[in-house]
Amino acid sequence: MTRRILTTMLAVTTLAVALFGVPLALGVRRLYYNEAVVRLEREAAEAGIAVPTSLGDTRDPVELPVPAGGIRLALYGADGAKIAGQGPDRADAAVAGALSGDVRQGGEPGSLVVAVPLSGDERVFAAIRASVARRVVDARVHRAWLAMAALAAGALGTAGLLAWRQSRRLSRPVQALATAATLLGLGDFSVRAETSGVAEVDAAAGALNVTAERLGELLARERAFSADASHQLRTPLTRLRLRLETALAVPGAADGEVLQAAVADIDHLEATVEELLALARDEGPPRERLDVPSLLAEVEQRWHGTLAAAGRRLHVIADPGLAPVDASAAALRHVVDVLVANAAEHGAGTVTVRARPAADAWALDVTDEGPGPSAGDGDLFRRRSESATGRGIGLALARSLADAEGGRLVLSRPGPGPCFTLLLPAADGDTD
Amino acid sequence: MDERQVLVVEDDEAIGRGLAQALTTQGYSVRWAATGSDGLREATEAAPDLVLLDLGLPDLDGVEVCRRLRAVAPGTTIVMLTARDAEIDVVVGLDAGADDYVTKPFRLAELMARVRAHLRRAGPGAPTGRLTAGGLELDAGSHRMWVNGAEVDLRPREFDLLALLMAEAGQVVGRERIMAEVWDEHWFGSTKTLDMHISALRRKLLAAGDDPNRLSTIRGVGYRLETL
Repeated sequence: MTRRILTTMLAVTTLAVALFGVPLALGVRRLYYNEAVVRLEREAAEAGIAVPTSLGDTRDPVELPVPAGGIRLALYGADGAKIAGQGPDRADAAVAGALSGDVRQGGEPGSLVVAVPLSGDERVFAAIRASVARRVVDARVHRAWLAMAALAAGALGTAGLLAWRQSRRLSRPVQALATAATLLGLGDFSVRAETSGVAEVDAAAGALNVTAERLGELLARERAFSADASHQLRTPLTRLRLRLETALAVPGAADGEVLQAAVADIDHLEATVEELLALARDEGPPRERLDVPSLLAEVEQRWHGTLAAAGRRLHVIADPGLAPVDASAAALRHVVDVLVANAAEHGAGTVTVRARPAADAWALDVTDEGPGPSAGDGDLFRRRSESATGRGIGLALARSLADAEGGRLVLSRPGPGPCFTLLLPAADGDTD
Repeated sequence: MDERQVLVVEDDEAIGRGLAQALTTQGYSVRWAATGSDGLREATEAAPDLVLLDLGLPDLDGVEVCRRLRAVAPGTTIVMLTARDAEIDVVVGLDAGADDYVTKPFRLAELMARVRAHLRRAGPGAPTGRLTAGGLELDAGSHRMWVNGAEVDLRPREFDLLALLMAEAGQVVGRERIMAEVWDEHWFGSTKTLDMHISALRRKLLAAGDDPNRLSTIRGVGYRLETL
């Protein structure tokens, strides 16, 4: 997990840096080049101030200043011949252009060139050519790029560090949870996962703790059962066998009294079996009183639209005289959802959801007007791959959930007009 | 005395044979089927008066057999024999159309008493003549019943139950009294069959358009038919 977080963070940071950095780098280069050109122009213009207008007349030697930064200046006469400085002997395109009156830019490969005209007495009498090797400007650009790269590296480094720290913070509780789960699997039901502050991991830890507790209880009960069962069953069995075998062995002893006693032994056995079964039976988690109207209202709300969109109607009815039920609303919501989804997908016509009283129980029928399922009841609720017909997992899960709530889910009418019934025991049943 | 027909659907040979023997001794005409499909076939050929149905059958789920039996022989009384004593499994069976259930292992005497109670025709002191309450009308003589003028088909026990409650309309009738008068005064064990019959009655009355609050449950005491 650490690697994944780290990789993601670095990838994202790299992408961000690249998205900004690349255009920025290109912009920086352009900036430097423009700046160089402007500088060339300025140097040329400044040098031009010192040149007298009477240049053509006197042919005095002219001294051009030597600017910094590798800029070379050259002076050209109106005829295009170089008078002073560093540059080509004859006027190039830029200089020729300058001599005709405009500031001109030009570039031989490898240099930036700017030529500035010098005018006096309303005519251009000379031009100054300023040039700088591209190499010089590039050097400056590359230095800037290096600085940017260093910053980017810094950003990536910081991102990496943060990612590493964060993943450590996350992976520690996940690791602890995994360890707790492993211990649980190995049979230690006393293990409890601690809270870590990470919401999702804590939720998983909580669920694990609840499971560990229930498993622990079940195991304890099973152990108690095994320990008792052997003794409690074998003793009355032995008595019974002894009585009957003795009666068989002794001729004429198999009379009513012996048989009565044997039946009494069986009563005793029966009672013991009941006790032991009750001991072994899992009561399940404590349940809350179910708010039936609320559950039905939710069903209506959730499915009315979907069915209406397909031109089908949904009837949600609660018959009078419903007994109270203790069950998990979340589990039942899921069960009803599966059943209605089933009716929506595989059924046809109006879907009716009806809560009705059953003999000392509570029943919920989900019917539709379709042909009904073709497979037998057993197949329908068996867990199959989703791809088969789409009924697969949903119904099997719904049945498990119903069983876990102490109820049953059955196909009470196979169809046409199939009906799935969820039955739940009433909370305070009538005493018999 | 006409012979009542009992069908035993039970796969265990010892139990099946034992039951058949005991029932024959009691004077019933008994058939025994060892599988669900055999049982359904027998019931289709000649509808029995009572079926003792084991839920742990090898070929078909007992509850499914119960449902199909109900469809094939609507007037038959079905008593489930089940080792599944989890309350909810009993409810599933009753909801599928069974009239009563007996858990295994059962005392033979008790089972026989149950069978007798279920097969008995009319209870002692059953109401006679015509009864009315609200929109309900009942003719004990012809065994017919109407809701707001429309006739409703009731099974014999449902009829007897309704007749008793109508005779005492507006008053609570205790469970013990109902069991004694409608079924048998020596009723052993669970009276869930009563709840089941009330449920069925409610459903039939509601379907016929009667008021949904007609039959009130007084928890722990009994039932009352309201004069609405």
